[in-house]
Amino acid sequence: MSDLATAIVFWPAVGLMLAAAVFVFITSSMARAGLLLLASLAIEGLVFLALGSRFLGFLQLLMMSGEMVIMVFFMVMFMPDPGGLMGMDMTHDKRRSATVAVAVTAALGLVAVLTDWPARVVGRGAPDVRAIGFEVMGRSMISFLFAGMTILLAMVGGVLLAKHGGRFGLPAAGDEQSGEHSPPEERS
Amino acid sequence: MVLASAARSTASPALIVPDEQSWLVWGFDPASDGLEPVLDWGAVRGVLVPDPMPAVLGAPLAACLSELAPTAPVMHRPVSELARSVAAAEEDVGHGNDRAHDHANHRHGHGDHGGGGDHGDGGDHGDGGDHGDGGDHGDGGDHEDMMAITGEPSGDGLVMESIDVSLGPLMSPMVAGLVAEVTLDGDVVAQCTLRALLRQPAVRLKPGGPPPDPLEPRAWAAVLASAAAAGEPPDTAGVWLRMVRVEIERATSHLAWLRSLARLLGWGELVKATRVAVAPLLAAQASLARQGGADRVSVGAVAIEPGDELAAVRELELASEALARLQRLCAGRRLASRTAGRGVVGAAEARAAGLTGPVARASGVGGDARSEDPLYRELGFEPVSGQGGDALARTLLRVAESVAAVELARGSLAHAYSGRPGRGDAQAEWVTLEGPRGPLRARRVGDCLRVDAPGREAVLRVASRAAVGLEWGSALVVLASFDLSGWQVGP
Amino acid sequence: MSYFTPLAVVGLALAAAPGVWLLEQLVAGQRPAPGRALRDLRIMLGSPLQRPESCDSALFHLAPSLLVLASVVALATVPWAPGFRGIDLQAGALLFVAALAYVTPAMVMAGWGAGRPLAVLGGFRWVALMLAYAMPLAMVITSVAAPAGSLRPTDIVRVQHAVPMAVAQPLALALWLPAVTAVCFLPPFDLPQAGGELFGGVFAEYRGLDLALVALAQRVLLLAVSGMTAALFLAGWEWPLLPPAVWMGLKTAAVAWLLLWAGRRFPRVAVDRALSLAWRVANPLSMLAIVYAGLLTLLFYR
Repeated sequence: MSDLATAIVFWPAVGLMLAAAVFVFITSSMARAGLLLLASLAIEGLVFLALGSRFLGFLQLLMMSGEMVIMVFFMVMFMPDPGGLMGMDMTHDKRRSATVAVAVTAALGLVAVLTDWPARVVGRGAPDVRAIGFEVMGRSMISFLFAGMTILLAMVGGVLLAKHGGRFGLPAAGDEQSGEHSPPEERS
Repeated sequence: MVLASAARSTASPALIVPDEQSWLVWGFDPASDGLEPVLDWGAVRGVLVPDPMPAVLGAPLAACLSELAPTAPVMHRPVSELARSVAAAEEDVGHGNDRAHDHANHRHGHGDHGGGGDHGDGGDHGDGGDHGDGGDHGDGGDHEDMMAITGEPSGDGLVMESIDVSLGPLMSPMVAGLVAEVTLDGDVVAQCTLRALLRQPAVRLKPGGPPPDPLEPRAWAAVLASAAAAGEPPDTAGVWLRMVRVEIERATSHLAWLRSLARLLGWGELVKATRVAVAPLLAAQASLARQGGADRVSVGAVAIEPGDELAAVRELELASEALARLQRLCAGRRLASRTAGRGVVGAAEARAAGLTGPVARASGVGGDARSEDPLYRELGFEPVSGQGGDALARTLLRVAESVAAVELARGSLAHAYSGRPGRGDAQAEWVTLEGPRGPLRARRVGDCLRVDAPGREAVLRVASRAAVGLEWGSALVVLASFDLSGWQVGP
Repeated sequence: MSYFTPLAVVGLALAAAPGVWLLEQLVAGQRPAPGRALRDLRIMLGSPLQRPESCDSALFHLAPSLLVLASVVALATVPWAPGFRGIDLQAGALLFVAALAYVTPAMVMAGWGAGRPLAVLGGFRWVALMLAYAMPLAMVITSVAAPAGSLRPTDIVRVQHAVPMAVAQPLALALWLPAVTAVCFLPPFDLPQAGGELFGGVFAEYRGLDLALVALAQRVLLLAVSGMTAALFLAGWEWPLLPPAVWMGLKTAAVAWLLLWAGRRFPRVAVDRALSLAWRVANPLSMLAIVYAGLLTLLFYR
C-alpha cells in the first residue's frame, strides 16, 4: 500500500480504536464494555494490517476475538450488574488508577517517540527473520512458558477467589453463615 | 412444538394445539401437509386448527397471535379470523388478557436476567400456595396441582443467581396445555414445577364424542363408551377389529411421541424413520375407517371390500418392517448418548409414587391392563417390560410396545377376517383400558362417562423431580421422555 | 488483486444461499420446492424487524451483520482455482481462522442482545464450545501448513500435488471436520440455536432482514469451510482430467454434502459431552497431530 493509503486507513482507525477504548469505561454494562474492548482491539489488528504487518494483524484479530469473549463471559458471571441496569458504579479507586494510567501512557509514548527505530526494510529470506525465529523458539521460550503459566495460575486463582462469594460478594461478617446453600436472591 | 396450518377447514372455533402427537392420533399428520414444527413465530409456515378447542388455551393463544405480524400470509386462514375465534373462546372462559401475559409469553418479565434486582420471587415456588397468578386459574373450574421440587445448587459450587423460565402452555417444547416453571442455576435446572392446565372429568356419551384426554386416540373413547354402556353384543368379530384400531393408535401415539423427541434431539434421521413408520399406520387406519367406526363394524354385518382388507394387511406389514428398522436405529449408541442414565426413576420410587403405564413398566414395575383381557391373552399378549428406568429405557420400551402393538394388530386383523368370534367385554363397574400413557378407567354415571387415569399426577411429580440437577438440554429430553400430557383426566 | 475479485466473492456468497439450500433439501430427501422457498424468503424479508425487550438492541441488530462479514471474509480466503481467488495472502489460512473466530462474538451479541434467558444460554454455550474447539482448529491449520512451509492456501494446495493431505494426515482431517461443523452451528453441533431445546436460542428473536442475514451467513459459512476443507485436505483443484475449478466445485460440494449428511445422522451432542470430547480427546489429539505433521514435514516434504 502507498503511504497515502496507509495514512487514510491508519488515522481514522486509530481514532475509532481510541474512541471505543474510552467508551469501555463510560458504559456501565459489562457485556458492552467487553465487546467494545474487543472492537477496540480488533481495530488495532486492522491498524497492524494497514501498516503492512499481516501476520501480526491476523493474529491480533484471531486472539482478541476469543479472549475478549471469554472476558465478557466472566464479567457477566461475576459482576453484580452485568447488564448495567441497576446503575451501579463499576469504577473504584479512581484517582490512583488514573494516575497510574496517565504515567504509563506517558512513559510508553516517550519510549515510542524517543527510540531510534531502525528504518531498514528486511527481505523475506533475511537472516534476521531466521534469527528472530530461533530466539523466540529457543532461549526466550522459557520466559514465554513462565509467563503463560503465571497468567494461567492467576486466572485459576482469580476464579477460585471469586467463586466462593459469587456475583454479590461474600456476606458481611455479621450475617448468618450462609455459604453456598442459600439462594442468591436473599443477598441481593 | 407444532404451529401448523389447518389441514382442513373447520367451521368451529379454532385453536392452535401445538402438539403433533394429538394430530397424528386424530388422523392428521402435519408433516404430510408439508408442515414442519417450528419453535418461533418468525418461521411459522402455518397454523393447524383443531377442533374442539379447550377454552383454557384461548388466552395464551391470543398472546401468541399478537406475536404474529398481521400480514403473515403463512396461515391457511387470515390471522384476523383466527383471532376472532380465539376471542370467542376467551369469552367462554371469562377473564381474558391479563392471563396471556402470565403464561404464554415467557418473554415478559423474564427478559431482564441481567438486572438481578427482582428475583425475589424465586424462593416461593416451593410452597405452591401463593404463586402469583395461581388465583387466575381458579375461575376456569380447574385446579392445577403444583409440584415444586427444589434441588441443591449445581455441582461446581459456583453461586449464581437463578433465572426463571416459564414454558408453555403454548409455544414450548412441551405439549399443549402443560406449563413448566423452571428455575435455572446457570444452565442447570435447580427447580422445576409442572402443571397440567387442561382438565376433563367426564365424557358425554355420544357416538364419535371426544375422548377423555383429547390428546389421546379417538378409538379409546369409543371403546370405553361401548364397553361401559353395555351395548356391546358378545361374540362378534367386531371386537377384533376394534382391537386392531386401538393397537394401531397405540403405535401411532408412541411413534408420534418418538418423532417429537427426535425433533427435540435435532436428529433428522430418526425424524424421518418415524415418519416412514407412521405413514403406513395412518393408511391402515384410514382403510379400516372406510368400513365404519370401530364400534360399529362387525364382520358379517358389514361387507368388507376385498381391496380394503388387503390394504390394511399390507400397510401393517410395511409398518412392521419400518418399525424393525426403527428399533435397530434406537438400539444403537446414538440414542443412548443423549438418554442413557438420565432421568432415572428407580423401581422403588416408581412404586412409591404410584406410576402407571409405560413409564412405570420402564422402571420394571407396574402391570399392563391388557394382560387381564381374555382377547389379548388369546393373542398371546405379553406385557413389555423394561429396566433401568432412565430416559433410554422409556424410549426403548415405547418402541418395543409399538412393535408389539403392530403385531397384535396384525394378529387380531387375521382373527377378524377369519371370522373367529371374540367374546364381548366383561361387564364391570369400572372398565379399564391400557392407554399409551397408562391405564384409563371409566364408569358410567347417567349419560356421562366418568373417567379416571391413575398415575397422571404422579408422573408430573416424578418428571419434575427427574429434571432437577440436569443441564437444560438434558432436562428437556428427560421431561419429554415421560410423554407428559397437558390434560388431567378424572375428578 | 483486481477490483473484480471482491465482486466475485460477494457474488459467490450470494450464490451460496440457493446452492446450499438445494443441497440441504437433497440431503433431507425432500423434493426441492424453489417456489415455496422464494415465497418464504419474500415473507421473511417483508416482515418487520423485531425489537428485543433488552436495552442492548444495538448489539442485537449488529450481530447478523458481523456474522455475514465474518463468513464473507472466510469465503474470500478460499482458493477456488489457480487464477481465481479472493484474497491470496501470505497468511491466508490464518485469516480464515481469524474470520471464523468472529462468529463467536456475533453469537454472544445476538444472545445477550435478545435479552432472554435461553438466548443468553445459547450464546454462552457457544462460547464454551468454541473455546474448546479453537485450539484443535488452529493446530490443524498449522499441521497442514507445515508441509507446505506456508500459510498461503494456494501453496498448501500445490504441495498436495502428489498426496492429498487427507491421506497424509487423516488425524488432522478427523479433528477438523467436527470443529468446522461446530463453527457453522450445524447439527449435531447446533448448540447455540438448538431447535427444540432453546426455542431457536440466540436467533429466536430475529425477524425479517436480520433473520435473512443469519440464514445467509450460515450458508456462506458452510460454503467457506467446505471450500477450505477441499483446498487444505483434498488437494483443491490439483487433480487431472477436469478443469481446476470443476474439481474444486465437486470437492466442495462433496464436503458440504458430507457435513449436512452427518448432521442428520446424529442427535444433537449434549453440551457437556461436546465439551468433554473437545477438552479430553480433541485437544490432546491435536497436539499429537502437530507432532506428526512435524515429523512428516521433516521426513518427506523437505
